[in-house]
Amino acid sequence: MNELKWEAMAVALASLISLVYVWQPGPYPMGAFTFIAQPLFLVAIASYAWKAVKELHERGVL
Amino acid sequence: MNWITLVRALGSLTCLLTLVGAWFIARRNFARLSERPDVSLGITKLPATAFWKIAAFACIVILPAATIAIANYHTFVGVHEVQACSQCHVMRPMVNDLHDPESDNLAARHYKNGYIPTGQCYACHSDYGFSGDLAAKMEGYRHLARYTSRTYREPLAARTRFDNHQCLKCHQGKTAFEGVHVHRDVLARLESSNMSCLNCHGRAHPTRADRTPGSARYDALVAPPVFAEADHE
Repeated sequence: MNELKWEAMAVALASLISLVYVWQPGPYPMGAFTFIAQPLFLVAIASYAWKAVKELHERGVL
Repeated sequence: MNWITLVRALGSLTCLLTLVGAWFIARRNFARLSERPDVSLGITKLPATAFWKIAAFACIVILPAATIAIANYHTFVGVHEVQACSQCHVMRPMVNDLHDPESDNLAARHYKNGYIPTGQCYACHSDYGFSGDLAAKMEGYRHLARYTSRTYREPLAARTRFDNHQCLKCHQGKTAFEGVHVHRDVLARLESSNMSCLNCHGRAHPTRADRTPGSARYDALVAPPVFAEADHE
């Protein structure tokens, strides 16, 4: 599997935003969670899945 | 333990675990993991490659999915409360007027008479069932985008005509409603929203003139509202 550096950084940033939102649910933290953190999580998950599937293809598992 | 404490505890746990895990995953060189010794888990040993791949799956897929679910639950349940609406200053005139015992506006009359015990804003601004909930939430996302990007103008104006079914869902069929013969005469027009309940029962919220910045009542209307203990349940 390739390095997962940026995926890890993306989920870390998204988790920080989510942590703020869970404790301070005002409009701006809610906006940051909805429009920044959620897409970051989803892009990181998609990138991870892409790398995992690619590796499984290379190893002949899929 | 109430739901908000539980959501905060679970949300904090998943976020903190993700942060710690992400720190280690970002520093890992996956290409060279086969050279590293096995990782002991107490009851068994795992090759370093397997261990870090499982850890990466947990930190990048499982924990973020849990965080998304918890934070969205926080959003969907939290927005049922009046406090959630009053977080945006443009909604405070409605909330302050709701709590004003001197106000004769329709929302305030419902509040002071205890017609709707909790979630007063949501009760009148969302329809029955899942589709009603979903439509209200999608509209909420639009409000959130407009508010946080500051692409709105005060006083706010309703985008669509108020659907009388929001009133009829509680009032229709009740003795007090059916006993007024005028209601029977205009029921078809009320049901199709061709005639507004507000025509006879007065406005629901403060006037647009009062909600306009610079008006005599504006500062009082946008002051942070004080909530009674009962509103926090």
